[in-house]
Amino acid sequence: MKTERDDALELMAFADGQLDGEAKERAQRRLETDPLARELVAQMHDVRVKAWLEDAADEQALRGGADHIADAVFVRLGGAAGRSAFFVGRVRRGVALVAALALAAGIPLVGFVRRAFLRAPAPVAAQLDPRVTSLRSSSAGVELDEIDSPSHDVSVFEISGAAGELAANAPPPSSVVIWIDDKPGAP
Amino acid sequence: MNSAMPATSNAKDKRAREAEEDRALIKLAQAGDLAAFRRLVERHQRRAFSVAVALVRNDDDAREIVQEAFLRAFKSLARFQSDSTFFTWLYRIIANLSVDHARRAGGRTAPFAEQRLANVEVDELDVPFLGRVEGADPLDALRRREIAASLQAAFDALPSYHRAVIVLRELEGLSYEEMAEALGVSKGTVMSRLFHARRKLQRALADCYEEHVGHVDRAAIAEADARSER
Repeated sequence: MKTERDDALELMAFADGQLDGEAKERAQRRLETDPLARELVAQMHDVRVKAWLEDAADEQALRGGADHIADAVFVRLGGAAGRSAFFVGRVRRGVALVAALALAAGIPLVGFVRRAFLRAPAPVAAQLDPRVTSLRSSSAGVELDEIDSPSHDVSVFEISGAAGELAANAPPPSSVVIWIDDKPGAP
Repeated sequence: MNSAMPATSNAKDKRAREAEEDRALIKLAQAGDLAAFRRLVERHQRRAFSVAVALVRNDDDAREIVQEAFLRAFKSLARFQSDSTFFTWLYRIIANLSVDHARRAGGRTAPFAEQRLANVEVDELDVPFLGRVEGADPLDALRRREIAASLQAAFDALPSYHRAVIVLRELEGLSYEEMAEALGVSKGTVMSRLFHARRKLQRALADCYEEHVGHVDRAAIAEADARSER
């Protein structure tokens, strides 16, 4: 249920141009018939108050140095320091983006290297164990032996030191790789 | 008494244009254009200061609060949502800082009217005239001074939450919704505060007129007051 206070607030809202539709029409009808409503609206929208406020605000702004606030703000921002404060978030996001891109590029690169390694010419068998039963030759300077096993094919690679990485007169380092084939029972 | 003048769409259009220009400046500032941010500060520094003074009643504190508000706005520019208006956002920051300031001050701040009187000479107490609406007849000068002084006294006597709604509405032309957003209160609260603040200013004006011209319709004012209380 609307009270007279609600009515008064609605009339004020009308005076401020804040009403639409049905409420606006209701206020307009009310003003046509109710002199007190007209008086209230006139008081709510007294141009003298607005004019005084505008003048007072101008005078106060001059007295209070409001026009120099921008200068003070930029002094406090400290030029480059302020700029860096503003851009710090952007820089952080940029670093995160570059790291993410590098990671995204690195994953396929790792896969490529792994595949390239597996596609390399078959290493040559080396006689590393008495159970070695076959020997194949290779041109890569690497030897491969196959070992009998009841359930898996087992191959042993000896990978000699990579060319160009060795210091003069230093003995070539080597790595031994034991390759167990998952196919059970292979001959 | 002046006739009722419901707000036209001109004020709304003007503010919409300003908001659009603000958005363009913010976009530039977000891209690192400091000159654009400076332009934004210059556009709003006076009005922001008026709002802050209304809230804290002290020029120095108001200036400090406005500076801090702009700095905070600067640091948060990247998060600014373009679907809201810059001044509503800025005024919200000012309102929050003013509340913090009031808590810290804890009543240590001298009443605003006292500060004003302490800072000026007696001859400087010619608070703004009403020349634009009352004409420029020099014979009216004294009366206009007294009217302005009455309004100033009434305004200074208002609580800060009443002064704030008066400034946001009469000077800034914010809608009720924008005022509610800026002050962090409901639209109904804004309307109620605005109504009572205007009534108090109107009473001050009526007292002054009655003293000088003696034909103020006090019955109408009293009736309006009674309605607002019922």
